[in-house]
Amino acid sequence: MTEAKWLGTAYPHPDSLQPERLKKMQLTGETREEYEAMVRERSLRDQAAPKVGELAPDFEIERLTPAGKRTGETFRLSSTRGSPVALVFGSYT
Amino acid sequence: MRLNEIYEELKDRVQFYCVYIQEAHPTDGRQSAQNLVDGILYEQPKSIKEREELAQVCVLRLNLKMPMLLDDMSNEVDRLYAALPDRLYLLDENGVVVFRTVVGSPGFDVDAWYAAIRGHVGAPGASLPIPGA
Repeated sequence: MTEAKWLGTAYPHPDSLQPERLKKMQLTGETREEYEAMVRERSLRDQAAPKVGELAPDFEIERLTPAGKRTGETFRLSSTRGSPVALVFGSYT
Repeated sequence: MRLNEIYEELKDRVQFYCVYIQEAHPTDGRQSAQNLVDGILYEQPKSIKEREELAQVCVLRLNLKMPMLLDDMSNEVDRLYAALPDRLYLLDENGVVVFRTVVGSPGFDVDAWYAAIRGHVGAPGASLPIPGA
């Protein structure tokens, strides 16, 4: 049995969690209720995000140096018009 | 590292940016089992200074080559793109979304993103163009 994706996210329904995931949840102390709330929240957030074919919302945030230090210079997404833009969102953890 | 390889191959044709957002698995949030194993134990930054420090750790440890941006403490960009925990997007020349991975870390599909980028720019060896691109 594979984990069925749920609510348009990459996460499975709480009823179809596989042993490996349940083991991880036990390790981190995450309850089924917390898991379900997390997926519901992320699904809800996703409904407001731009879908394929939609204009990506503009934003203006600070640039970092190649070493990850703040520069005081800002980057504006709309300044990239005319070129495709590939975005990676993430954090260390 | 895969992201660096993709960046090096296609950076002349696509602008790449890595947006450093709030921590996905801080010790005071939704901890991940793998991070417990790996000893990656950090609290959620409470200031932009703390977030900057973690971004530096990330860049150095993962040896990230692509240009980096820092989401501010309002987490506005994370929210706009429903990015947490991590996510990949491709925008066309007009800023329209051409591709995005599904929300959630199991959906962090670098290969699918790479294929979408190559398809969009018509890189040699690309399989099929992205419909509507």
